[in-house]
Amino acid sequence: MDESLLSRQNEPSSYTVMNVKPVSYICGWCGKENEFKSKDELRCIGCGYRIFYKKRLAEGMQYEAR
Amino acid sequence: MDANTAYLTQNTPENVHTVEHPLSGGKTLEEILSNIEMTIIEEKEEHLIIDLVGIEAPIANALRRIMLSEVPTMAIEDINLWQNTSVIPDEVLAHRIGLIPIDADPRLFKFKHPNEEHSSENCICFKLHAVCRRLEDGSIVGDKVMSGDLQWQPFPNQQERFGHFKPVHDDIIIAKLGPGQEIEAELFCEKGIGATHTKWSPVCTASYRLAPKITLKKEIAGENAINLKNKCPMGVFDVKKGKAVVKNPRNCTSCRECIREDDSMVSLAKVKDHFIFTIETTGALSPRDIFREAIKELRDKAAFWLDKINIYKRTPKS
Ligand code: SF4
Ligand SMILES: [Zn+2]
Repeated sequence: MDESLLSRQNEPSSYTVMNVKPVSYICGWCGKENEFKSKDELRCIGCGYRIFYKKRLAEGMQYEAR
Repeated sequence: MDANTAYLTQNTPENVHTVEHPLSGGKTLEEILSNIEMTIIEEKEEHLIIDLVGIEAPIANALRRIMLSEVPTMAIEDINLWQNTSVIPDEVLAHRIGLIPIDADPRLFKFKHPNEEHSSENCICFKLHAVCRRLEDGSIVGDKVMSGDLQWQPFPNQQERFGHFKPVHDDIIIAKLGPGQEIEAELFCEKGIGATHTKWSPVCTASYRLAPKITLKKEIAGENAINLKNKCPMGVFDVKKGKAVVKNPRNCTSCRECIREDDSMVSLAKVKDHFIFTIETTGALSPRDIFREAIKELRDKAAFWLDKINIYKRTPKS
């Protein structure tokens, strides 16, 4: 087995919990931005919908309009 | 047969070639120039129909091609895309945005060299920020992103010098958004020519056709005249006092219906040096200006090559 995978498995299970900065997602129904922590239930605070889309990175991309 | 006329017969066009050089007929350049005639047939804000008589086909074609691909305009070239959560992929969105005609006189701007910065001299900057939301009552706002949503971001002292810039039309749909989707971008217009990319072409189309010359070979009266009138789908013929007359020769599309069964009545022909130009603008320049700029461009090209020829003549042959 791959070394790195093994070491990942041995990490404390709090690994994900430590990464506390919430990620925001867009609700598929009402469009509201929702922030989830790892244990949160996946439901929109606005409407209760359960499908979400991840926001794209805020870094700009440059394109040629051709 | 008149050398200056091409005939359409039942089977084939005839006398289409221009064999002589315009100067070989003993005409001087001054004579040729004084025979050139230009008449404006129709002028609207968006299109121009102009008659050019007395020029050779290569010159007419050069003018047409210059109008299509060498008269500069401003178009969006660089896009900084900060956010695009719409269903349209970034590249497609960038392409659509690039094609929006911008209402800006290109003669006020300079060409931007690839390693030059965007500046007030060579660039117009727009900002686009569109967000779609579902409101409390369920209704959706901002689901259409239109060209009118582009916000001009003037460079220092552009506003004082140029006034205001915006897209030619405010109602071009750029993208449609679902609730929560967002497009945020910064758009930079540059000056360019249609040969690089069609978005810089100032015309929707610029074309020419030869003027039709339609004559009746004999007197057509009575039932024949009415038949002839009904035959033509473009209403070229009319009946006056029981006799057929050619009323609107310009409407002819050369469909040849009037000579299909019997070609003894009508002679269909084209005047070889009479060009009817139709110029349709995208909106940045008036069609008249496009034509004028094309002539300037052609003159510059001619001057360039004249210069080259003179240099060649002056260099001693070894
Ligand atoms: S060629 Fe067609 S359009 Fe032209 S005059 Fe004849 S029937 Fe009419
Ligand atoms: Zn929701």
